[in-house]
Amino acid sequence: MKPRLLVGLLLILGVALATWLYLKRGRGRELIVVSYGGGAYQASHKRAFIEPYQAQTGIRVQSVVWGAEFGKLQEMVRSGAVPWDVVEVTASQFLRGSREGLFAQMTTLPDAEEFKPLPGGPTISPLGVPNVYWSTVVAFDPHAFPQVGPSTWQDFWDLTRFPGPRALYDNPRGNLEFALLADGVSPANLYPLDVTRAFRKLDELKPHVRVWWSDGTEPVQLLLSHQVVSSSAWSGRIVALGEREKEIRYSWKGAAHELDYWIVPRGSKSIDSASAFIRFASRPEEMAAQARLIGYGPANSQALNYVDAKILPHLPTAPANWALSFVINATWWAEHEQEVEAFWVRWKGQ
Amino acid sequence: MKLVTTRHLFSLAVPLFLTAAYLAPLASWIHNFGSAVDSRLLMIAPKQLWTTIIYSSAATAIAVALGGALAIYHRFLVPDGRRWLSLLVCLSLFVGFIARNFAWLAILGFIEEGLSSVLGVRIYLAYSAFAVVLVMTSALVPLAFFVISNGLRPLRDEQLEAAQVMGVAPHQLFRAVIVPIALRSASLAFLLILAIASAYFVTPRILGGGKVDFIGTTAVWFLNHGDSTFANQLGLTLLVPGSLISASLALLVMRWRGRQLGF
Repeated sequence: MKPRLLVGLLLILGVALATWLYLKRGRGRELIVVSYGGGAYQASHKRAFIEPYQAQTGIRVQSVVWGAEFGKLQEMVRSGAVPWDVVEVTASQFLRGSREGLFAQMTTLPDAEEFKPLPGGPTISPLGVPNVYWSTVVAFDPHAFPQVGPSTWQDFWDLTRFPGPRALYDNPRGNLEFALLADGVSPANLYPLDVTRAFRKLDELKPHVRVWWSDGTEPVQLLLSHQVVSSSAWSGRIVALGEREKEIRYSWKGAAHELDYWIVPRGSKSIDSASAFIRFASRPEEMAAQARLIGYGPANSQALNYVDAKILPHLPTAPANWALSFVINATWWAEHEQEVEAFWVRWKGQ
Repeated sequence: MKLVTTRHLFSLAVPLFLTAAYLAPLASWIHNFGSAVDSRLLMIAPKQLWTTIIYSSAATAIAVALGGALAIYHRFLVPDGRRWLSLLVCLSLFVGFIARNFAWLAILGFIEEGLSSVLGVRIYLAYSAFAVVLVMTSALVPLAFFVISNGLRPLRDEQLEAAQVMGVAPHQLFRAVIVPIALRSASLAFLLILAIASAYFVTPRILGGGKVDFIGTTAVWFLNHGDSTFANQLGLTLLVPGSLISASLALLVMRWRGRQLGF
């Protein structure tokens, strides 16, 4: 072999070895926590949970964002290469993942004294701990409607009273429910969803939907820049605007609540630390701290005792808001999601 | 004498590497066909493929026309002008892919605001098929420019001057000499760029507002919704236009080679 080729090969091997050693470093001392959504939401996780946990334990925690791409988690667990330790998943993903054996049993859980679920809410299990209720609400641009704006899904569909372009989340989950509410179905009778009726109602609005948004920051930007007059939006993203919050108005009537869970993926190398982190992040004080930052509702009812009176009206779990809204039925969606999603994509393209 | 040298191995490895990227998904497609193909594929793929082909062809055709015109203009510039024009076109290539999309979103929003204040009516430009084609075109023109410019290189100044001395009118020169040479490289540019354009997925998502879904966009949508197997199957349907483009390219190259060899 020519000396130059040999040197080249040795160089490549050296770089590969150095990369491998670099990637291997610190595993076991570091925890990777994955938040569902970036921006203000990830920032709330960092400030309320991650930084205090690091300060208390000395364990380095890395914050990572994912878009709840369930397939990614499935592939990761099935391949056995699981870099993540704590992951935030949606309620329907929690059901699917539990069924498919994707989650590890936690070695420590929040005790019953410090974690009290909301009335009728799910309890903690060794596979997952309920974390936060987040909501999709009707929001509008007060420049377009200075007096009265759309405050229900029936108003959202009413293009005569509230003319102008709309935006909706590019996902059937939630939108089918909103269409049925607009069509006169009561929240108590939403499930099982009448999918055909919902799509028929969505047909009416489709030509006026300017953007099917895919990220929580989009509807906020679209409303702030007057690109649409009304949109569905995640309430916390509006609360997180701070001073500019007044530039968007929203209503809790017909808001859809969804619950997220903390889980430890099967194959995580740090199940003990991950479980301890979840226990820490489920304490009432920490959950209240997150609620102050993002305005989502802690799944631990004890946390409401620590939330400022100023922020309480913005939380999905505040009694007055809870009474006006409904919770997405994760069981129904876990069973029908794949089938309905295919219809959704076809319908959107028609 | 060594039969197999490093150079031979290298020249074999690269085509193998390239072909594998085509053959592996094709093999997977054939392997899965019939048994594991998701029934949803027939429901979704034809419409998405149609959208992909129509809009990527439109963007490619406009990019090749603009890039071709620019390349011809560039060919007849003075040397300094050529350098500056090449530099400007190169600069546009270095604009980040994502940044370009968001920049155009801002530009279109600004134009909308301006038109709305002048006309009193809001004309929607962003979040539309128009926006998708516009932004794809802006990204593809430089590629067309460089392919066609390269194709015009055999055109020598002395030959053109000789033709003019012999009394050939400029429009005749353009029609009989320049256009045929430009068309040859334009057809190559069209096929190469179409192959790239049909695989776009970010621009249709951002500029189309979820209404102009290419196959790639839809595959990513399903991937994000936890259905990686179906996303994979959707992605593989791009082999249909991919194969057609590859076959056309092969035919084109064979035709040129045939001409060069005097067949």
